[in-house]
Amino acid sequence: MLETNTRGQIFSTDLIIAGAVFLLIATMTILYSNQMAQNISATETANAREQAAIAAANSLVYSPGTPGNWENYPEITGVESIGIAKTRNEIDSQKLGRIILLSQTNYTEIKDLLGLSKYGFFVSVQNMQNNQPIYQFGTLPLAEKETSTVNRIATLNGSDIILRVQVYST
Amino acid sequence: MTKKGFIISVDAFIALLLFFAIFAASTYHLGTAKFSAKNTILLKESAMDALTVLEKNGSLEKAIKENKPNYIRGFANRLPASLCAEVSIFGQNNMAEPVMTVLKSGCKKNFTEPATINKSVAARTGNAADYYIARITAWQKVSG
Repeated sequence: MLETNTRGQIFSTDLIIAGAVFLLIATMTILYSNQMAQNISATETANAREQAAIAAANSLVYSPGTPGNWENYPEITGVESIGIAKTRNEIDSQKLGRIILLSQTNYTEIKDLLGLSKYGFFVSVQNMQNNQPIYQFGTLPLAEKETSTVNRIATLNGSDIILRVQVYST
Repeated sequence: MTKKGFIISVDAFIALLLFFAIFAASTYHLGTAKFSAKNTILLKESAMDALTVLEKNGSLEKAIKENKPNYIRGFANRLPASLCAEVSIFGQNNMAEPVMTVLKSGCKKNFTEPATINKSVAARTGNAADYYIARITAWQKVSG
C-alpha cells in the first residue's frame, strides 16, 4: 500500500537539469538555424549577381544585339537587346563606341537591356598585352559594394583584349 | 524508497553525445558548402574564349603551318594571371599523341577541376586544307 501523504516535487534536480539541457539544445538549434538562413540568403544574393554578370558578359561578347545594326539608331528606343560582337569573341568597334556614348546618357536603359536592372555595372576593355584599360563605360562601384567580376577574352581591331564586366549591388 | 536515481543515465548520456556529434558534423559540413558552379562555368567560358580568339587571330593556323608553338605560347602567357591553360594540337586521326603542346609559363598541372574544350582547326595551303584538333585545358591557378 503506497503512502498517499507524500508530495511529489515538481522541480527536482533531475527535472531542472533536463530542462537546462533542453533549453541549451533548443537555443543552439535556433541560433544555428538563423545563422544558416542568413548564410544561405547571402549566398543566394551573391549567386544571382554572379549569374547576372555572366549573362551580361555573354551578351556583350557573343551577340551583335537586336536589331543587328542597333548602333545606327539615333535613340535607344527600338533596341531590343544589346551586344557589341561582330562575330563570337570579336568586338565591333562601332558598337563599342556607341555603347560608350549611350551609357553616359542612357545608363539605366543599358542596364535593363543587359539584364542588370537590379544592379550597377562597369565594363572596361583592357589591352591583353599590358593590361591597360583602353575603353570603359558604366559606373564604377564604390569600394564597399559587393562586386562580381567576369573577365572575357576577345579581339578588337585585330588586338587581343580582356573585357572585364563588374556587376555590383546598388 | 531511500535510493536516489542517477540524473544522467547512460542512455541519456549517449543521446546527448550523439546529438552534439551530429550537430558538430552538420555545422562543419554545411559551413564548407560553396558555390563552385560559377567557377566551373567561368572556366569553360574562358577556355572557349581563348580557343576562339586563338583561332580568330590566326595563331593556331600559323603555329601548325610553321610548326612554331611560340604563336600559341605568346597568347597563353598573356592570359589573366589567375588562369592557367595548356593548349595541345592533335592530328585529325591521332588523338593520342599531340603534334605540339604549350603550357602557360608559371603554371603547374596541379588542377583538380579543369575545363577542357576541343575545336577543329583547318590549316590551309592553297585550295587544300589539313584538319587538326585543338584542345585547351584551363584551370584556376593555385598559388604555391
